[in-house]
Amino acid sequence: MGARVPLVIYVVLHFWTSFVNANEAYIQLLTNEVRARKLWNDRNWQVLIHYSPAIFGKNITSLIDDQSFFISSAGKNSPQAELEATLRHLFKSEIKPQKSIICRFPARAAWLIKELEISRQRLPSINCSKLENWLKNINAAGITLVFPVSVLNSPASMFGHTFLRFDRKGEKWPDLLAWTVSYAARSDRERGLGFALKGLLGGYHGWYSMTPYYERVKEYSDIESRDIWEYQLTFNQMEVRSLLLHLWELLPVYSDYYFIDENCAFQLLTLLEAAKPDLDLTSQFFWDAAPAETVRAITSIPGLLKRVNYRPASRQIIVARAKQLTEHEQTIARKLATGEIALEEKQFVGYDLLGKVKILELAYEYAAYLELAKSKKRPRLNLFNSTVQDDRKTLLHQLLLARSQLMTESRQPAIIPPRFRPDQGHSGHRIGFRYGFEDPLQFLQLDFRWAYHDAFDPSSGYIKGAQLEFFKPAIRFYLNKDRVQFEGIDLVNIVSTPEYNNFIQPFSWEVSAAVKRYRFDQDHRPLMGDFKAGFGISYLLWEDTLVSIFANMNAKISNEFNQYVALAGGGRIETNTSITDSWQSGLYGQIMRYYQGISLTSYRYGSIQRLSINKNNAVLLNIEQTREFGRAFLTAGLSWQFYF
Amino acid sequence: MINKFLYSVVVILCAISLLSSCAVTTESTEASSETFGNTSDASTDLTSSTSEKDEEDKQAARLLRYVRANFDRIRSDIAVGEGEHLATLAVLLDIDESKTHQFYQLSKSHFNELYPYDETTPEQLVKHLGHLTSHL
Repeated sequence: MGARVPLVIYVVLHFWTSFVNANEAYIQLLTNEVRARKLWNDRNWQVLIHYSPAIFGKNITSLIDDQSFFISSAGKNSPQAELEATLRHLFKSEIKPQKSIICRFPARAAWLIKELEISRQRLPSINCSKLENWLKNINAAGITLVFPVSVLNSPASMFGHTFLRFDRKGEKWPDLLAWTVSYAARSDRERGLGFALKGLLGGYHGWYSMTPYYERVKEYSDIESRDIWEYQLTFNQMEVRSLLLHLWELLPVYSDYYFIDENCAFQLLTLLEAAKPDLDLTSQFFWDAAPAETVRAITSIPGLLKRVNYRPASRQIIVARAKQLTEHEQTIARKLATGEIALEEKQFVGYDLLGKVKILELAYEYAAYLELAKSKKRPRLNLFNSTVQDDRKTLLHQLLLARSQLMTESRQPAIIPPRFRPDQGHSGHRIGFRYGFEDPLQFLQLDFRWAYHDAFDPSSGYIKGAQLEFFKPAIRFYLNKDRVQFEGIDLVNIVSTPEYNNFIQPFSWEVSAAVKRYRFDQDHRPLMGDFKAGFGISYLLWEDTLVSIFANMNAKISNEFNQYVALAGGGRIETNTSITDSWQSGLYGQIMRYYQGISLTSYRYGSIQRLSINKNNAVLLNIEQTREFGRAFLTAGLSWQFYF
Repeated sequence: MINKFLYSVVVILCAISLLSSCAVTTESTEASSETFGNTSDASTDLTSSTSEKDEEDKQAARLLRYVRANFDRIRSDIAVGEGEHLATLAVLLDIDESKTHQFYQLSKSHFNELYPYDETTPEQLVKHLGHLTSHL
């Protein structure tokens, strides 16, 4: 007995050592193959670790910043080190299955096993139960890219947003119950300059998160009143599984969030590339990634788009319902919604069944919209002096109770989607070549705009009444004087002119910051800091003409003014008409009274005509009479604008 | 010269502040966080396996979560007798496809029992729905 125990131990140790040595030899064999094939350069590996060329130099680096994503300490900057470390750890047994590479990084493991034809018998036998349950519960067989459109009145939403929805095929599982994944920054509700700087410079961590689709529809469609476009993509079940396996790898880790390039839209592209590595979506967004541009990149790939569905916002539903009613009926609906009149009132009771249904459904929809607007503290211009009932819960209940007693089907009109989808609009960057005249001088001007859309750009695919421009420098060459001059730069210029009507009552606003030249005389046009803000209201006349009226404030910074600052107050009116699909026409007038720093009244009035040649080319003609800080002068210009 | 530079910096910083418009953050809007309550952890049960009893509890939790998040839309669909949110509710209640139309009519005609008060809570609604669907 005494001699048998050491013998058993010896035999076990011998076999164990042989096994380990055999495994080591096998791993070394695989490593040799990896090195011979330089497998770390394979597109699949590059996509799975999110490698990208560095901004400076020839190196590549992973866009993921959380060190826990890398098995090798050098993994972030060395694809080879990371691959070899992953390969080695693949064979490691772990007490807790979720710590094993096969369970923690299933996409990497699956690819390496397939690529190197690794024998399953050689790998530790592990049950990744959490991963399998997760996949089973999501039960995805298709992918839809979802795009809530931009909304200027919400600062966090100006460029729109994208996220993915996992659809179940072959079952009648409602879309609302599908799972979605989105990438976003955790900012702890910080706002203002710190928020902007941190967001620009990667000061926040970005994370993927999953929620049911109904939460997103509620947030975007109802609360923020944004249209949603659903782009169903042609990924097969295997590709969807690949994407999910990679998402599993990414859920516990963060990347530094950058507003401009490594943002919500960009990170979704990396997921789609994991599903189909042959797709090269991210390399064209090296410098910036606006959500609409990423959608455009996806839909432009032949065969990738299956179908598009439009989900209107609550605001659109209200407008469509209102169009079914006369002015008088709309007024009754509005008064019911705000509690100004009761359901027993004669003016409502007198209607037939159909009339009552239409009015009640609009009244409820509007009351619910007001309730959400109040809870979101969405600012409204209440011009009707209507007393809004505080006890809105009772009112909502009463309206619906009354509706439930009307035994007829819904009268919601079919909402016709906009003629053009967001991905069918012009590209966000723009360059312009202008021939101009500023009395008495002629010039050629080069204009560049980094982003995004102005009121006279082709409006197809963009929301009406929204102008969003960033970084717009201009250089001028004076023909008479043979002189090149920096004309100025618009750093940011945002104008929001949503239509004000009986029900939806947003105010219009604008804000801009620039460094520009203003004229004292033809030879004296100094550069100045220029900051403007304004509030107003916009109405839609005759279906195609938007009229906006603003009250404005302006601050200019220059040593031309007493104490370097000139302050002014005034107003502006402008019209914007779509005469045809390709011809946009505008008239405007502005007057500003300077009361600080300089005492004078400046004004400008003029006209803009824009003709689209195609989606990405347009001709612009403008003419303006202006008085800035000297005598009045005439300006005219003819530009060719190219969007890219 | 320094003052002109400083004032220009002010303009540029103001412009940068406006760029705070671009971010998407994980915080819901105030209204949505009131609406969703605890639904932000909806994904945590995705990784757990379930026995039959667990599956019933999970389904009940899923139903309540959905009703809480979509309370207003469900109510308006019930009042009308149709709609996407009502159809989704029918799936969560496991109502057979052949009986969904009956469910829509039943819930509409019993609106007052499903929502006896203007302050009916999602939990109460789920309870009332349970009673109602037992008649199907």
